[in-house]
Amino acid sequence: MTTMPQATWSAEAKLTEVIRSAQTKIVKIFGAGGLRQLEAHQTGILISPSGHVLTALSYVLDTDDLAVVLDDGRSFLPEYLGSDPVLELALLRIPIEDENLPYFDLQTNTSARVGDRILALSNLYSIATGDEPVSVLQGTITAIAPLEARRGAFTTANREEVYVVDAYANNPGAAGGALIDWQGNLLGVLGKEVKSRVTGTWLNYALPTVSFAGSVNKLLAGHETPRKPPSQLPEQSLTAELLGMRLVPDVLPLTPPYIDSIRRASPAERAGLRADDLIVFVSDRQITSCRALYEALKYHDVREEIEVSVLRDGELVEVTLQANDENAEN
Amino acid sequence: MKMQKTRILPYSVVAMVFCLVCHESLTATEPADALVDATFHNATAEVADSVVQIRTVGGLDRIGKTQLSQGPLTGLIVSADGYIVSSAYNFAQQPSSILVRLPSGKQVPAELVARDLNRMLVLLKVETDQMLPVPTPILEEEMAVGQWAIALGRTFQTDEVDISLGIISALNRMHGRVVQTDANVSPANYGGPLVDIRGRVYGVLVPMSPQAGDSGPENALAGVEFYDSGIGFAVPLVHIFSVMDRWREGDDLLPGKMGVSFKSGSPYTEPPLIATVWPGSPAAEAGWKPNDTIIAVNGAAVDSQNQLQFHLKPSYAGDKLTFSLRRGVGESAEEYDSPIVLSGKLASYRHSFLGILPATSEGEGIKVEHVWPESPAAAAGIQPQDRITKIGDHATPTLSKAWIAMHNAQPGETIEIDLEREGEVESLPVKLTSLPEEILKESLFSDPRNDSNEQLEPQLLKLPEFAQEAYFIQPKTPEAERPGLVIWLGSGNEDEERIMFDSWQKDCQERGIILVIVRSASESGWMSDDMEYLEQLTRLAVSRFRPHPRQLIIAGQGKGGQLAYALAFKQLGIANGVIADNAPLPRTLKLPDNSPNRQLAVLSILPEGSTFTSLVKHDNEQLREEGYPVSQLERPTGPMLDQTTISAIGRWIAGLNRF
Repeated sequence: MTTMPQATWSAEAKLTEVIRSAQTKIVKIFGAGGLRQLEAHQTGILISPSGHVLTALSYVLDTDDLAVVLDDGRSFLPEYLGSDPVLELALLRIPIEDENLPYFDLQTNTSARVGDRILALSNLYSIATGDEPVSVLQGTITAIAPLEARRGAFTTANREEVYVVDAYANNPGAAGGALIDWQGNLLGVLGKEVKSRVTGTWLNYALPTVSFAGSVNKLLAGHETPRKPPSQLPEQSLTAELLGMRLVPDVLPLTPPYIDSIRRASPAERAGLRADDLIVFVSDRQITSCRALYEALKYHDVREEIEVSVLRDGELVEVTLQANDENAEN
Repeated sequence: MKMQKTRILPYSVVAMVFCLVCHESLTATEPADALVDATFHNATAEVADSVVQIRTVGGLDRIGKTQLSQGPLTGLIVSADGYIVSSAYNFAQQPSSILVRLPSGKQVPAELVARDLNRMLVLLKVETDQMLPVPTPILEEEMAVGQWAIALGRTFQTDEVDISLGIISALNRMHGRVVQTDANVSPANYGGPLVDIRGRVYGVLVPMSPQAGDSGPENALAGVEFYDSGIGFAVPLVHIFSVMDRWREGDDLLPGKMGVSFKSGSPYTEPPLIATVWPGSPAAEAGWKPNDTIIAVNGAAVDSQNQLQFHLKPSYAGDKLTFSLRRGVGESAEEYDSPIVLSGKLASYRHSFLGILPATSEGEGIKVEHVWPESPAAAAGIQPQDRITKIGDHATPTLSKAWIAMHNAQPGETIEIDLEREGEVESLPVKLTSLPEEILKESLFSDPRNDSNEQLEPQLLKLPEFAQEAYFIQPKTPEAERPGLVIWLGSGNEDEERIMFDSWQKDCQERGIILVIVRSASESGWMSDDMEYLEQLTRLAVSRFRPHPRQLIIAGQGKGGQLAYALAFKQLGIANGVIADNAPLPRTLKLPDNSPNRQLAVLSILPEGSTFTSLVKHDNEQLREEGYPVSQLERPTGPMLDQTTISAIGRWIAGLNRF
C-alpha cells in the first residue's frame, strides 16, 4: 500500500514528467508585428514527426522573416502550407530531414469534461526565448460552450463549441499553444485574444482537437478546403410585418419587444398573439430588445415555422407561427 | 455538437506503456488524480440543481461608460418555495422583466422582491408548485483559509454549470462581510455559489470594492474591474439565511449609519474620536457630542477607526448596537454605554441662512449691501451698510470666513452676530433659517451694475480637442466685481441661439452675467457622451472669465436640462446652480448627499401645460428632501423662454450671493 504523502509526491513527479514531455512538442514563433502594442510572437504545436506546425492564423505570420524555434533552441524558416480561415488556424512546416520530432497526434482524440483540471502551455508574453521551455499554467475547464466572442467591434466567425478555462491562458503570444490534460493528452489549441459577448469580459479558451482535427488532417494531406464564414441568411427572410405584428417604436438601445398592434387575419392573430404581449423567445433564442427580434427573424426563412414565447400578465405563453403564401401575396 | 469523454485506451496499449515506463509511481498516481477530479465533480453535482439561469428583458445597455453584459445571469435558490438570491450587479440595468429557468427546465417569470445594498445582492421570487432544491450552507466557524473552493455559474450554458476551481484566500474581508477566493469570479458566475469539496455552499459570488459607496446604480458595478484576477468575493450563505425573514418582507436592506464623522488621520491608528455629530441622527438623539471617543461596541473593545468599521459595516439599518464611549480626558473622563438603532438614511444637511447680500469686499468685515426681505437678518434689525465682523464664534474678516461660519451653524440655531454700524459695535442674536427658495423682487435691485446700451456680439469659445462649439456674450463689469456665468446647453439651432442672445442682452448687462451657449456634438441633441466636453468647457470658462464663486450656473432645456442636472450633481462643486427648463431628473442619477461646503441651488422652470409637470414636481420634492433649495418658475408655453422669465432668472442668479 502506498501512503497518502507518497502518493502525492509521486503524483507531482508524474505531473513534472507530463509537462516536460509536452513542452518538447511546442514551438515559439517570431514574426511580424511589434508596432502599436501588437505582439510579434505567438506559439505553435508540432503535429507530425516530420516538422508540421499548427498555429493561429494571424498577422504574426505575414512576413518572409518568420522564425519557428524548437524546444531545443534550433531556429527554422518555415514553409506556409495553408490555413482554415474560420477556425483561424494555419499549418507551417519546418525543413528537417531524417529526424523524428516529438509531436501531438491529432488521430488520438482526447476530450475533457467541465470541471476537469487542465494545463495550458504557451509562450505568453514571449517570456521564453532560445532553448527555454514555454510557460505552463494550471486550471480547470469552466465550460464547454459556443464561442460567442468579439474582437474589437467584429464578431468572430467561429461559432463552434470551445473549452472555456479558468487559467489566464489567452494572453499576448499564447495563441497557438496547447491545452492538455494531466496525462499529457492534447485537448485543444489556445485561441486568439477575444472578449465574450455573453459576459463582456476577456475569455480564456481553447479550440477542441475534435473541432479542427478533420480540417487540419486534410491540410496535412495537401488539400486546402477553402471555407467561407457561415452566413446562412435565407433567400427571403421572415419579417414581423409578414407575420402581421407591429412592435412598439424602437427608441432605446434595448427597447423591450412589446407587440404594439396585430394586423387583422394575420398569422399572428390566428396564433392568438395580442397587443401588449412581450416577446421573450423566438425558437429558443432569447430576445432582449426590438432590435434583437428583427435580427433573429432575418435568420428564418419566410416559409419556416417558428415558435414564439411571449410574456402576458406574468405568464409565459407559447405559440407557433408561419407566414403563409396567401399572406405574402397581399 | 456534444463532446464525448473518450479516455478509454485499448487495454494492450495501456499494458505496453506500463512495460516501457515501468514506474512504481504510475499505478499510485493515476487513481489519485482521478479521485480528486471525481471529488470536484461530485461536489458540483451536489449544488448544480440549485444554480439557476436568469434572463432579463429590456433595461439599460450601459451605465456611464461601462457596457453591461447581455448574457444570461446566475442565481442561487435559497428556499424551497421559490426565493432566489443573485448579485445586484446582474440587475444594475434595471430590466423590465426577469425570467428564471428552474431545475425542471421550465421558464418562469420572477419578481424582484428587495435588494441588499450593504452586500450588493438581490432577492427574487418565483411561483412554483414543486419544492425547489436548497443547498446546505457551511457554518462560518467551519470555513478556513486554504480549503478548496469551486465557483459555479450558469451563464455559458443552460444545462451545465460553469466551474472555476480555487481555494479560500481569506475570511472576513470587506470589514467582515465576505469571504475571498482565488477562483475566477466574473459576470459568468456573479450570483452563483462558491462551493466546498463536500458540496456545501460558502456563499453567493458578488463583485465588491472597498472604495464603493453604499447605493446607487454605479455601485452595483463597483469591483467588477477585479474580475478573473484571483480576487473574488462571496457573501456567506449562512448570513443570507439569517436575514431571510426580514428580507422577504420586501424592504431593501440598507447599510446602517449612526451619524458621526471622526477626526481625520489614518483609520488604522486614530481612535474613533468624534469630530461631528449629524443633526437628527441616531448618535445625536443618543446625546453623543463632538470629542467623545467610542471605546467599545457590544462589549468588544475598539482602539482604531478601522476596528470600529468591523462592527459597523456588517450592520444594517434597524440593527441595534451598544456602544461604550468616553467623554473628557484624564481624571474627569467619564465612560457611558449608549445603545443605538442604526439608521438607513440620515437627515440631509441643510445650509443655514442669515439673510444678507454682501457688497463687493473692501476693507475688514462683511459690508451688507441688501437685507433679504423677511429673513432672520431683517427680523434682527440688520441694515444695509452694516459691517459684520463676527458670526457665532467665528471672526469674519473675509467672505470665505463668513461662509465657513455659516456651514458650522444649523438652521433653527440662534447665534450672535457682531457688527459695526456708524462706528458703534453691536451684537445681535439671530435665529437662522434654511436657504430661501423665493426669487427676489425687482425692487431690491435699483442700481443696475451696467446700463450700457451697447449691443453685445456673440464670440466663439472652442476647445481644440473637441468638435463641439460654444458662443458667449460678455458684458463689461467693473474690475473689482466678479461676473455671473451661465453655461447653457443649447438646442443646436442657430436661429434659436440668436433669439436667446438677443433676449438675454438686457439682463446680462444689468446683472453682469456672461452667457455661454453650447452646441452638442451630435445633431440629434445632448447625450451623456458630451459630459467630458462640458466638464472641460466649464473649466476653461472658469479660468478665462473668473466668475463669482457663488454664481456659476449650468443650464439647459429638455434633454439639455437633464444633462445639466447630471453634470452638476455628478461633479458636485463644478457649479453652484442648475437651471432646468422642462426637464425631469435623469433616470439613472443618484442624488449625492448635500455637502456643507458645496452649495448647489436649483431653479426649476415649467412651461404651462408641460407633459413633465407631475414628474418635475415630484423631482423637486425629492431634491428638497436631500437638502437642496429649489426655486420654481412657471412660464408661458412655447419653445423659447419669454422676457419675464429671463428677467426672473437674472434676479435668481443675483440672489445666489446670499448667505
